Amino acid sequence: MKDFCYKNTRRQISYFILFFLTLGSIYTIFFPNVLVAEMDFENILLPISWDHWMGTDSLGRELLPRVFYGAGVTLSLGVLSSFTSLIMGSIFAVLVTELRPSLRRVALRGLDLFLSIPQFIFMVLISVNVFILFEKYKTIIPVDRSWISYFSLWAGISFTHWATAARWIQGFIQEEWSKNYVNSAFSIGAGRFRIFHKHIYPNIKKRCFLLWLTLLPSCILYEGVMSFLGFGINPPQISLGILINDGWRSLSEYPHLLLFPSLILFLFVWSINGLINRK
Amino acid sequence: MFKRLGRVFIIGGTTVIILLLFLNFLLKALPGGDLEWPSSVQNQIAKDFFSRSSFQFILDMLIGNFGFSISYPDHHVLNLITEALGSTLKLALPALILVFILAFVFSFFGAIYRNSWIEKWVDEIFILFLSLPVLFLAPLLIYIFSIRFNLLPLAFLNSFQSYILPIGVLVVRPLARFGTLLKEKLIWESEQPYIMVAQSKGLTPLQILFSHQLKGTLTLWVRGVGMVMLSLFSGSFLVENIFSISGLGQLFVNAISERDYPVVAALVYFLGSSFIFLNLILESLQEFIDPRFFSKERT
Repeated sequence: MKDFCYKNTRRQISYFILFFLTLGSIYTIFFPNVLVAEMDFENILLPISWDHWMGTDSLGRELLPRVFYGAGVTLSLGVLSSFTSLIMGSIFAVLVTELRPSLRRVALRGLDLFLSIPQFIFMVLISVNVFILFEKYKTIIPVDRSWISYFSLWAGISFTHWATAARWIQGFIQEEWSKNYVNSAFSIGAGRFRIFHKHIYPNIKKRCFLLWLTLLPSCILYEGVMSFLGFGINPPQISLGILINDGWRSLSEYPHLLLFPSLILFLFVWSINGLINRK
Repeated sequence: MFKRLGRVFIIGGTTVIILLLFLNFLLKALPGGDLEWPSSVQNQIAKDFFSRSSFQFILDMLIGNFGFSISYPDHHVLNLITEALGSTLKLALPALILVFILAFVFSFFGAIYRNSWIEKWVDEIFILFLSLPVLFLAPLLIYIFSIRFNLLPLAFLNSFQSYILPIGVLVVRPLARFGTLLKEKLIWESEQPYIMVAQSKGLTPLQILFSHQLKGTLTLWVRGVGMVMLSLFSGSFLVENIFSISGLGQLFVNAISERDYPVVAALVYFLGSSFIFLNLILESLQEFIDPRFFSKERT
């Protein structure tokens, strides 16, 4: 945690940006009535000005609250899926460490090879599959379409990121088990579970938190990519990817529709990366 | 040599078969067989594709019998993939070389001028590059260079100029990832005792770098081929869609949206198996270069 407190200009800027973006997106998520701001057909597709900080879209709505709402959806999905993948990865890592060495080598080799394939293909296949399954059993589980797309994207991203988390956490656990104090604990009669619970877990806890922060930018970016390509969040719901996809069609005439959502996406990723970087 | 190759084939073959079983499970869960297609030919192709047993499916995939595409019923899936692979490689191979050159230049300056403002700025540039998403960089560059100033073409791969934007967008993130590793490795090598011996013999820092330190980073370059290729192919799914390049990425995304399952299955098998074998071969190459890297304690 000491790493977070250095006097560093980049880290201070990152804190500042992250604080304001998170605050804005949480505000628009919890008070979404700023979104329904009246459609104003007199003022469609205006560029940036003092009255319209990010301009207006094709229905005359303000872009600013829409972008922040989309950022909130993206951020929540990123936080949720990276957290799930961290949990899944740590369960896998703990179980793998308990295997006998030959089996463990096979499992880790499989994990490595799984990680060497472009993860995007699995992400698309899983989220499309989950989406279709929910559509099929719509009568049994009546869920709104936008929630189905949210859930399927969550499943897709978590399913592909747990392997990265598992690989790292397995390394942490392995490193702790091979230290000398573990041998001393064994010699005074502590069991495996007790050593894990009392010594290993407190020692890797902070590193796991940092790992969660390193998974977060990747999850946020994948949300943008999937929604942009049309496999993610479904259009009536807003997310950064959807907004970028909307703006993409009119890039030459109205660049503000595209550049502001993608700028927010970039700022999120840059500030998280800048925060966790040690340098 | 033969032992290594045999191990690559056994491990790779087993993993590919597990991949195919998983793929088979995913495709069986999709309701593709029930869909109604516009023409009877397409219906026949879909029926043939989904009515196979799992064993038959895996066997067909392994011998390369991918069948016909549903959305283009007059094309073999294999032909579609080989055509698309050409344009993807036309982007990926120059990008790979560019990543290696730029990563070397950046990390070279970062490692030579250690603990100075140059190293600090190299770090900042790597952090910036690592967090530049394609979704931000590509529209920005297209807007500036193609729309505002009309310097570069904004889509397709027709001329030499049209390669600049897609490759420039693709290179950024792998460059940051590989460059950080290379810089750390160079600095780690410069702290080893043999560097001190070389210094005491009177070699200049540049001589030490080119004749000793770079040799120590050789395994990293071999590992970098796999890492950068993975990053470039993952990036190509988005970049090819943005720049309308008919490569593997666009083929995959179009096939998923049009429910063209023969193409999807063939692409997953092709990409998966080629990356698995690429990584295994690179791994045994690393073991050949530096045997202490893969001692028994690994994993």
